[in-house]
Amino acid sequence: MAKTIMVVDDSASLRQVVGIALRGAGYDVIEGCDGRDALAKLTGQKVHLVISDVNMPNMDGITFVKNLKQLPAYKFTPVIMLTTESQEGKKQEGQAAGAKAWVVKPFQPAQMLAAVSKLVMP
Amino acid sequence: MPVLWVIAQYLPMDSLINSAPEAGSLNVFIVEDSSAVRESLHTLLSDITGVTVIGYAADEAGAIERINALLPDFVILDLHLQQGTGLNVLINLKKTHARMKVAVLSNYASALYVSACKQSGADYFFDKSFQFMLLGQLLAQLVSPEGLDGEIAALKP
Repeated sequence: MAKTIMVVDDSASLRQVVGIALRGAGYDVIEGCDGRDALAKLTGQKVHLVISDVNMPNMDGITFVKNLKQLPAYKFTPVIMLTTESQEGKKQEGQAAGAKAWVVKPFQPAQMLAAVSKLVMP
Repeated sequence: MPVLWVIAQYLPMDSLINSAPEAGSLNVFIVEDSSAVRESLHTLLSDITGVTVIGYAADEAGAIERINALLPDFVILDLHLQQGTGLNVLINLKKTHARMKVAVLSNYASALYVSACKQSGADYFFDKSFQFMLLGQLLAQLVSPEGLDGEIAALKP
């Protein structure tokens, strides 16, 4: 059974291209358009990994990860954050919130898939 | 970013020329949410004999609806739209009009986007920030295949 990855980003295009790369690698993908939307969609189903943007409307990525880690079902779900190079401070905030890795935009599909493969829950 | 290399990898230049419905003419539809870019494209294309811009759309639903009605030979497609995505337009067009040629013209020319467009059936990918004129060259050469030379000819696989 395919593992499920949640992609959270306010850019529909980015969610789509990341989704194509992940589905091409055999993962199931669910999407959230911001932190609030993502939390609303996490209703206890198994999610093996979360990939989240940092800057989003309604609820940013750092706040989303903090909230995610408060939910018993997702406390141990690994999170990869998508950042830009200028967001060193955000990386540290993400780490403190519980993110396991950071992928800097723009990134190669292989780079993202390597990080996913390394961190996805068994 | 070796976008030219990526283009060279999957441009079916010969098949595109051969599939032109009428020698010397090409009907083009533009999917682009920026009016400034639309105007620039229109200016660029209006100077090319044989190329006619037959319509525009700024969002996904409008693009699919109008392209299905107008059946252009060639679609120039932005990825980020007012509503929906250019990628959805591409996927839809390649399902329903497999032979319709689509050139993606986007500022988002990272490998992730290029790869997704290629997987979804794009015939061309142009980086909007520096390959705008190259798109014009391509269209000029498609309506006049004998003139195929320069950078575009170098991209023939």
